[in-house]
Amino acid sequence: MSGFAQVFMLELRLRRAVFPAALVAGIIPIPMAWIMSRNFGFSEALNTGALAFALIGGELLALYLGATVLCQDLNEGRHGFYFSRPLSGLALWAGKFTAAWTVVLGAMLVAIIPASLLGGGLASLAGLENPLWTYDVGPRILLPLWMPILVAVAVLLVMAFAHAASVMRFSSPWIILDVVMVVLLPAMAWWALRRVMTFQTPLLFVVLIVAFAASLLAGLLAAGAAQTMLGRADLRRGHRVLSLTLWTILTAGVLAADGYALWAVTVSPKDLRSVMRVSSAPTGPWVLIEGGLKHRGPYARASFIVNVQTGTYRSVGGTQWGSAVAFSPNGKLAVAFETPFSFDNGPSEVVSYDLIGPEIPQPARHAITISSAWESRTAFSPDSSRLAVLSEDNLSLYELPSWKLLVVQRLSSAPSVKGTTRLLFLDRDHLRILRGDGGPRTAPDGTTILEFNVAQKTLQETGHVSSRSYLLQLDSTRGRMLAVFQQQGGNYQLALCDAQTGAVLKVLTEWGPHYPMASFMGDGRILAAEKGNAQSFLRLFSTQGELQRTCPLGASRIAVAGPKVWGGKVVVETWERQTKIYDEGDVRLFDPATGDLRILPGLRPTHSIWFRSDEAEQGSAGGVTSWLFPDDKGKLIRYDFETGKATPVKF
Amino acid sequence: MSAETNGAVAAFAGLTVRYGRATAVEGVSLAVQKGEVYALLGRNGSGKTSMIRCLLGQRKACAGSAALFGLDAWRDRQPAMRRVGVVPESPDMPPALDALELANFCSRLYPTWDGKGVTSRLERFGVPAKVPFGRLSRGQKNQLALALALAPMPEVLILDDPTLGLDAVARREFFEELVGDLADRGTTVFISTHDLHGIEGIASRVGILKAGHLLLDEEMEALKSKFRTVRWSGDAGPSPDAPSLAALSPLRVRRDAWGTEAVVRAFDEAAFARLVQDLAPSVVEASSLSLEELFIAMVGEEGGLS
Repeated sequence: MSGFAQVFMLELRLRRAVFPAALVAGIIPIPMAWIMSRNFGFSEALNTGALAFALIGGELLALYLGATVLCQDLNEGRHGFYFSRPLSGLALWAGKFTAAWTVVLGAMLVAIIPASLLGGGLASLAGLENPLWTYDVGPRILLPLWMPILVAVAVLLVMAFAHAASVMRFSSPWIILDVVMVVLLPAMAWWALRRVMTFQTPLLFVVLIVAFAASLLAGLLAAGAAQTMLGRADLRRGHRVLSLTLWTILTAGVLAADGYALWAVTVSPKDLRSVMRVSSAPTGPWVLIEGGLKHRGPYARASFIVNVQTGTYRSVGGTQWGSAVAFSPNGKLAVAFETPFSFDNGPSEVVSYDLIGPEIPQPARHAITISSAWESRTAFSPDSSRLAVLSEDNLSLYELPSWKLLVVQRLSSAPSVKGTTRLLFLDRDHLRILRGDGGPRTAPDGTTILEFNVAQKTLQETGHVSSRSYLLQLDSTRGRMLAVFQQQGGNYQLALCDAQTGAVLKVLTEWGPHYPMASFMGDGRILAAEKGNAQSFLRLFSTQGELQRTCPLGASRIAVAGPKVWGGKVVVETWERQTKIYDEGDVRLFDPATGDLRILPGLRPTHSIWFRSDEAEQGSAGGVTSWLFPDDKGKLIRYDFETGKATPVKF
Repeated sequence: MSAETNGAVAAFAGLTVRYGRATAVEGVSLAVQKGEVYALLGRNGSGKTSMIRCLLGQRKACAGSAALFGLDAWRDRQPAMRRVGVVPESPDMPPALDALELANFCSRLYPTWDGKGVTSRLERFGVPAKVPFGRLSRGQKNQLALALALAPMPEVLILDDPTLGLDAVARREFFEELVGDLADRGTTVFISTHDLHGIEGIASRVGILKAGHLLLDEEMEALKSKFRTVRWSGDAGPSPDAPSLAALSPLRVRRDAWGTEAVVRAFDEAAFARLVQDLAPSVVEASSLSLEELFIAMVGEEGGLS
């Protein structure tokens, strides 16, 4: 039998008293559960108590055994017994450590036996259907495996940590290195974590946490093994070997994680898996592109402002899909909400980019903090001289380019639906505000229409859209009309409303089980997609809501008209279902004069209407986005409507 | 000659051991040939245990090397230990295990194992088989350690002050057992001890350490012949640096009421005859030294080599 097996068996023999002790200790949760059962069910109290008792007791035992399984012999001068035998240091370390690990895990299992006999403990573990630790980790069929594996790894980690700590001696000069690294490495790890947290993508965070845990475990285990193999019976040498091994591995692991984090957050447009969104300033060469990132998990995204003439770019915006980046109408300024550091949808700051300054626009931070990029809004006045910023129902107006604060106005003390408020300057002095009524996280009961007079600093409610109305879009002729869909039970209808009073001017589609979509064309006419019983239709309405044309839409039942127009035709983006808007969809060219609706092959939707339709509207016909699309591989291309030729945009 | 190349069973070459800034052993070289019983003597703290730990591959030398069977004791510890039996200064076995459990553990680590020998030795020593090691007496622990060290029939026995703390009977039994094994198998022994009476009869070579330096490395026979006590009556006589006495290399010269006593380390009959002539008509006699007398003369407070 190998030396490892001999040491393993010897250690088990030495620790054999642990098992009956664990069995006796496992009885303790039973009377505790009986006492607790006055407030909770006996079974529930027993399950929880037995598992908690086993887990806590197991970790404490791991701490004790980790600290003593090798170090007690070392401290008491008994290592010589093993090292004067033909045993390798590795066999000694692995045999003792594995045996202690087995003892801890075995003791945890034994401690659950009494409760299991009464229907708790292990029985409850098998019955868990959706425990927290399985969230988004793997198939549910594997659930029962995750907890034991995690517990086993945690026990090993605690043991390895306890062993390493017990080898370190204050009398050794190497303790200075230990103290320095204990401070330095968490700081380096935090640096990496903080960087990926801003991406708000679980995968990167999980990768780093797993990498840290793995390198910690590997470092501790390797250091323990090296200390036994190379330090042998020499305490000081053992400490030196342990420290050098541990900190070398951990430093390498943390540096690798830092490098990974740096790589993950240093992105360029080439890192986009596919361009999902394209919008632009009304004039000038700058466009905003946004998309998912390659190799960074399913939720990681980035957005860039790109000069399509020169190929220069800059990463902008926050970390969420649908980043809040707006271009001023004169094309000279881009404003973004950027989250300096947040693990969730937290506070952001307003950052502006001068698009006519340096080749690569530099960020100017304005010490304006908003509560959440997703729930906040910006709007430029038509002459680009004023900027409205809305955050948590507080409206702030700034003079540009000085960024002088003109006024701060609280919209209402009544609750509003988060993220539904829209802003639109009617002119330099008048701002239209559409505010969803209702609780912060509920569907809107209706929409209150407000108008703010900047010069007089007065806020006036001018109208209201009836209950259960969802704002689809403001028209592009300075907020004259509103398209809404209204809900009644499971049925929806599309209506055209007066944007000042909220009065319904025209019902565009009748009640039906599928909600309709609508968007305004550049000239104020309305395109609506509606699914009938068997077929979907694209309908064209006049600016007054009169039906002008109906075109069959095939399987697609969602269509939005983008700001792209060419030769009197308008680009329409269509999807079969809303759940498919990120994966599928067609780009079609619609001729309002003839009703011709043809697919432009090889192009994907720009999604500009889905995100912040109020701001996307400002990207009007004639802007550079008129001819920019993602192709079917997600690459940004320049599309020639005349020839149908696609040319990649170089970054 | 390096420790690896001189064919010795155990060897040290320029061995230096330090503990922080303190030097325990400095530049020690010696070799133990096959079949020898090498007694390493020295006062407490002279560096004996450090040397043995290096030889057992438990401690890495700061400089120099220790070798077993021509193999580096640090690098090739594991294969070397198959051929070595060890009795440590303080028996260091797991205290919860009894003698049978310990023997059972050890038996599976060696290619050869004399299980019956262990049992018979334990019976002879009177070591209870089922009492945990931690509850045995000091003497029983040492006897168990010796039984386990002899069981794999090792080529070399390394004993680090194995009789420390034992009573006279236990010491005698220990050495009798050792002598028995030597007689049976001709095992090479490297032993550090303070029990000079016990080792005197069996050691074939002696090394004496003082403050980490090897003062002496001689065969026992040569040692006995070279080191003598020379006494003459009266307080007259040559000074230690007089030619007739200096030829005998006196280690120490002491005068008392009876006369003068000198311990010399290069005794030979011709030089002794010249000294007798110089000291006539005083009565001059020369006598052999016990190992203990020799050791005290070498490392004791008064005089001695440094």
